[in-house]
Amino acid sequence: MGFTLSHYLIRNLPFGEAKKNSITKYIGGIILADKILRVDMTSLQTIWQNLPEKYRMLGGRGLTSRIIADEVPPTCHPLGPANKLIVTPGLLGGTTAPQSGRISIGGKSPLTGGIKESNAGGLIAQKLGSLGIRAIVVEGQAPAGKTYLLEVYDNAARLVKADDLAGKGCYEITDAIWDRYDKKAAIMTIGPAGEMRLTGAGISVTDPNGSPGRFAGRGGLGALLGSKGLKAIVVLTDKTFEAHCYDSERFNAAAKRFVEVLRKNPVSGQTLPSYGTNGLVNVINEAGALPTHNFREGTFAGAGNVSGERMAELIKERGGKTGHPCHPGCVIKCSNIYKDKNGEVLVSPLEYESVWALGPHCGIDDLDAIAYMNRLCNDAGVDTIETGGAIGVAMEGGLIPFGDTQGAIGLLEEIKKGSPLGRIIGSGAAITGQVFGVQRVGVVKRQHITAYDPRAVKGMGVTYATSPMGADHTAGYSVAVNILRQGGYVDPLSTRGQLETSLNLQVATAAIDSLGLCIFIAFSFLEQEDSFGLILEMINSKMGSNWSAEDFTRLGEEIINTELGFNHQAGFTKAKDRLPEFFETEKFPPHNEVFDVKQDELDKIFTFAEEVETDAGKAASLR
Amino acid sequence: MQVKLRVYADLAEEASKNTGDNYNFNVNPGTTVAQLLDEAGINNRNVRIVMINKSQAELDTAVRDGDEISVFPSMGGF
Repeated sequence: MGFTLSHYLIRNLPFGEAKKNSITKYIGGIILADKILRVDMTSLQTIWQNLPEKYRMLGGRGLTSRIIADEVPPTCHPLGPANKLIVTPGLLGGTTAPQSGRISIGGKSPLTGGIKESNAGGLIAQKLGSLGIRAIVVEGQAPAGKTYLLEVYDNAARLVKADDLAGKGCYEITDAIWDRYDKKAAIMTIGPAGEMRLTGAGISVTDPNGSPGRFAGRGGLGALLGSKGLKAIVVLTDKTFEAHCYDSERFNAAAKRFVEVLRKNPVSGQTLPSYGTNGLVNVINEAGALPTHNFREGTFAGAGNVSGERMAELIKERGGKTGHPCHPGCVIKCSNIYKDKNGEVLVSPLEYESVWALGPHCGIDDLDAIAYMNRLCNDAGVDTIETGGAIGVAMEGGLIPFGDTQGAIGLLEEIKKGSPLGRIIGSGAAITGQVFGVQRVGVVKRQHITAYDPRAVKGMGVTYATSPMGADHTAGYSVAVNILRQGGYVDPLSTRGQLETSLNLQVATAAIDSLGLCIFIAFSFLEQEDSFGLILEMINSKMGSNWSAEDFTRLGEEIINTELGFNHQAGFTKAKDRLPEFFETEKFPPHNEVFDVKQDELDKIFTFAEEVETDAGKAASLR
Repeated sequence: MQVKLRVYADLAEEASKNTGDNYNFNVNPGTTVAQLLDEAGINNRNVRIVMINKSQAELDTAVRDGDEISVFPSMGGF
């Protein structure tokens, strides 16, 4: 019998309906079982729920997507009371596992209309993991015009009025919250863009230095939090690495060895701390794959001026910092603190995708101006990729010329002001393209493509087209294999091997995103044999489980299936799994290629769906 | 024959070259990328990515007159 999504959905709602009667009040004392903190914005109550057994082996993206599939009606309006915002540390959050401090935030995306998970570093994941809070579920909706803040303590939580914080930018909010509470507070907040419910709005998370520059930027989740009337979540605890471990001795031994493995790896141990992610500018430019002037060509004359090497020089000259950790327990340290000519901090971090979107994509090669634009995005609380994408599209539409740095800065300033033009730009590239009558708009499922042109890195095109998240490079980073030669090599200009490459990476990524591990462990995962075994050892010694490599793969497959099922019920068809038409018709210099992976091939990518369907019993053993 | 070599990131630092600058070399026909790098004082073992005229190539690829060769160590990010 042929595979159909709806058939699959019936068989594979692995965790069933949430048992509403299982909600119990947390009354203090030692409870080793993890908890879910429900925050009802309609009644303004917080409720503690013991973690249902079916969620025991889920964290991060695995848990955000599962709760959304279980509890959010797929056809609901993303900004209405039926949608929920889920905040989860990974399964390894709150432990000494290196790179375990990613926070996953999920919901029905206001941007794509589909399921969404976006993750960030910062302080909050390790804090929540240490408190045994597996998830915060924000549901309902506060009365219009009311703004609240959620305080989370070791054994308590409450909503407090925060009308005084309304309208403030992320930098000012962070300072105000610190003044009110404690400099050690872990803060998650939205800027004015989220309050205005703009579909380009992200969620800011503070790092150990208090910068609000860590963003779960993608998918408009800031608008979702804004729609709830919740401006910020503040976690107030001294605990950072205190998550309960089934076997601490085994766990610590594995975590220690994993640190050594990451340090030995030339990417995670050397180039990432030296040049940050922005080291990619020169590589992708030399590969003829750096989308420039809104996807017109693959090389940028000003690439050297905005490169990671140049950035590292300027940081050194001005007393900034490279090799900066974005969360407690980060040993890769790809982050940085970028200062201006006067030695004042402009932004932290300055990253490749942001530099590309606000730079080469718009024909801008002034790194200081790009850093300032990044700061404006952070302050307004918008995704740099979506917003830079929108500015490039506005340039295409003739609003301002390509390369007009001051014009671009002016547009960004409009977002925080909430002017009609600012709201358009802050709503992202798809809306901006519609308003300015532009055909060349690089979005999939209304989310903007990132810094690798799919005509010159065809494996990346497969991920952009097929990921349930919309165009998302982090969902299956084929660049690693197409360009960087990590874990093998598949010719970036050929169609051969691209589906398998993207599929394998998408599955592994979904699983890694569930552990709360930074995706940059993937460079070790792809190259060092002992890496995978150590990850399994950390999972098993923390959870008292006995996972094999097969279980890990099956977790990734189940997550993607859950997400595909939600999107299907939300009305997505395979017609949404397509790149914009111009990628298939316009040749891209210097390679003069088009994206030519066949559409019917894209439709067959998720081969495991049928396998899971026929083996549902085994899949159930994971739950 | 004439070729141009560009060296990036730690490779440039190790060889005391400016990252991304063009360095001109006169080489004999049949010269491989690896031989060119030897001449430029770059340790082949640290080279992970080779591109010739924007296309992926190997250390044992023979260079041709007018080629522009770019080399990188292990790089990552995203």
